Amino acid sequence: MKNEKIMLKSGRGIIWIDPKILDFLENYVPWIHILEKKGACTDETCQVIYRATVDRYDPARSGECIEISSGNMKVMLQKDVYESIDNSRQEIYLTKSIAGGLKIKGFTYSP
Amino acid sequence: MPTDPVCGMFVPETTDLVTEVDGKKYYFCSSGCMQKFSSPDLEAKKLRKRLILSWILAVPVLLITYLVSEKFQYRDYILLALTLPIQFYSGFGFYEGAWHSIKSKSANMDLLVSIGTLTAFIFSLFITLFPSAIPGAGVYYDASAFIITLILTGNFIENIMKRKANRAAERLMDMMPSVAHLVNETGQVTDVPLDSIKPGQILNVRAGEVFPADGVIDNGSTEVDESMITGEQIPVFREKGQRILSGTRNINGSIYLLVKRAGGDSTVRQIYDMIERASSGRAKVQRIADVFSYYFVPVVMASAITSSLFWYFYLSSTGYSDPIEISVLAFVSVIVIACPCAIGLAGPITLLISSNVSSENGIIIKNSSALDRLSKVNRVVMDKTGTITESEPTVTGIDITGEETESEILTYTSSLEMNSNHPIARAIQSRAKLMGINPEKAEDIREIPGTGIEGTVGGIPVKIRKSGNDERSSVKVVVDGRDVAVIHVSYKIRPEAKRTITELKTLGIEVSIVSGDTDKEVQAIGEEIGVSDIYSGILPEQKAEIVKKFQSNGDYVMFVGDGINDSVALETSDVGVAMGSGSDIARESGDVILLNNNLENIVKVKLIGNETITKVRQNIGWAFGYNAILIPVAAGVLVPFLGLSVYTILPILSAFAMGMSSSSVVMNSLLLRPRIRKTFRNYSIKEMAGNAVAMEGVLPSI
Repeated sequence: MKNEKIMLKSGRGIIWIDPKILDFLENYVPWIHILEKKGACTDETCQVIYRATVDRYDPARSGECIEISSGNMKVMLQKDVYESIDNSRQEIYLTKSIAGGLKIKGFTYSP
Repeated sequence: MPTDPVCGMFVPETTDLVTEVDGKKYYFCSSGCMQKFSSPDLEAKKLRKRLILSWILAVPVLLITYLVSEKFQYRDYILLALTLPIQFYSGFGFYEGAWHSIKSKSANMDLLVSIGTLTAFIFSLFITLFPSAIPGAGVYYDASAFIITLILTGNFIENIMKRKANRAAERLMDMMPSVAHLVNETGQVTDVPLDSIKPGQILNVRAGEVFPADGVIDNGSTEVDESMITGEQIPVFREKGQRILSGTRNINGSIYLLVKRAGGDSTVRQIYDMIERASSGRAKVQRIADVFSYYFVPVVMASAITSSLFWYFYLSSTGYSDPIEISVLAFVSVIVIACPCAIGLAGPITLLISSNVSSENGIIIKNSSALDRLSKVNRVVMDKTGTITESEPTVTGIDITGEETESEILTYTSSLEMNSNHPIARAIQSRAKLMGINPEKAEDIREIPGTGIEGTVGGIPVKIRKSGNDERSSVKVVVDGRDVAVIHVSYKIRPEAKRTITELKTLGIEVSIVSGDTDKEVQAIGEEIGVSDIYSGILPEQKAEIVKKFQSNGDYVMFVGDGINDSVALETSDVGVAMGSGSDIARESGDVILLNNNLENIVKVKLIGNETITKVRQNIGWAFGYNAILIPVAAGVLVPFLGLSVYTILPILSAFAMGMSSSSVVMNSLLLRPRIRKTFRNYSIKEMAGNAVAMEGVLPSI
């Protein structure tokens, strides 16, 4: 059981939690939000790059969020993240990054 | 948080970079974006000037490089003198962009171009000033000049292509008049600027003129050409009290228009804004473009450095005389050939073109991100009234049971019903009008909800009551206490409804009907048009639950209904299509708004979705392949076949390829326009032939 991915329903999409990060999440509520960055293309028609990133949830700075939870597992999503997962029925993965923190895989920004 | 309308970055409202247009505030992330928005023509003029100077000087640079002997002692200095204006005037925009990218710690294409051209220029300058430092090394002012020239040329061509891409939107605004004829309280008419018009004012619109604002006709009648807005080619007759959309043309009458919405709130402006916003939509496949863009510059820099070092050490080990020269050229070629814009443009430009072509058919893509989901739709849920049937009922028959004639019955009933806004009342009034009957004055009017209406007409008591045989659409007429007639009213099924259902099924799409009407009525309609999955007696809030039920089974659902009354179902569905009102498209829910009531547009919407996503994938594949193949070419994979001499022209060829890469994506996207039109034409020809059989081989594969 401990080795199985944990599923959190997020609208019509799903967030899978990697079991390897469960210990990490014991005192940590992940906040998934969008970071935007101008891409390499300078043409005004080219879009900004939107990446989902994970930080510790801080009510003071996290703004309007949607809570997704199942049992003791809780994840806070920025509204655009929730809508993107819901609209496109995405399945995204919350897992460990090389740097030791958390990262999101499989997310596409489409509010 | 608002977004910069030029680059799409989120911008806090506390920024100083704000401008207001048509009562709307726009926020910018930088002064560059603000300038591009405020004076796009100025930017275009600057580009033209730089480009012209660049070509005027670059061609002599090339000619002198290849035609004048290196032995001529002033050759290199002449080349330097000709190249300097190109490098530091024409190329200035790249250095400015590179500087901003360094400051914001976000490397971009300008940085790559600057590094590429400056590397070639500085190397050449070094050789010019210290020719004995690297004996036998040549100068490459032609490379540094043509890098800038060809990339600017590519930008110029791309801008022309993009204007074509946005043609429909531009045409909308170009046809709007610059002045309006304002009528004051004394009836005097003065010409005023368009942006000074306000709701409540009366405008005079003459024959041949375009209506400058949304409104209702206050006086007069005319035929109106609505093709620019709704796509309907046949003019419509409009008279007092009827709605007029801005951007439509007054064909043959002089009209007084009471303005309801003007400026930024007008329909034409809302459509324009929606088309312009189309390029900010997102298709799921664009994730590849994001990943590519994110790592692009570091990967290209690493490739360029690796290639450069490889050639230097390899050629040194073979005893080649000037390995540094080839190494520099390899570096410049790789840096310059890589093009992030091709992949960055692939999605947005396709969505923009798709939105433009759609608007020509009265289909407004309000949310272009929905086009991705549209291509996956496998179920359509339709509201009955106003979608499958006409939105207004009509009188289908009058059974006379008394001595009165039909004309007399309609006189009594229309005289009463002109005081009611009930759909049945409107149906009776329409029938009376069609027969040329003028209603008389009715008195003592009493409307009883759920039952009917009563009053006196010419002193005679008249009652109209819901018919007792459970037919919601029949009413009994009682005159002076006598039953004199039963009037049957129903919503006519749209003539194209059955064909549309058949075509949807051909596309592999299941169809369901939802309605608040009785089971008997909805079943009858379902049978007539070939739909067996029906939900009757449904309250408006239950429609969304039906959509959710299908979605939980894995269906991608398109809901087709009224943009105002079905807002919840439209928002819940994967793709919401709002039919026909167009009264305030900004306020209407739905991802797609159909400005005319043609049901066939539902099929067209699906076809647009399929074609658009196919083209986005094609563009991304092309752009990705372009870079994946050409970067190794620039790095030197062709050297074993063509020899090292290929590097004398490779920097220029790289600049050409780079300049053309974005234009090629735009050009390929423009092919979407005739493709969609052809698909529509094939669809229309088939339905004109009255053939309801599957269109095998005609429809594009899904």
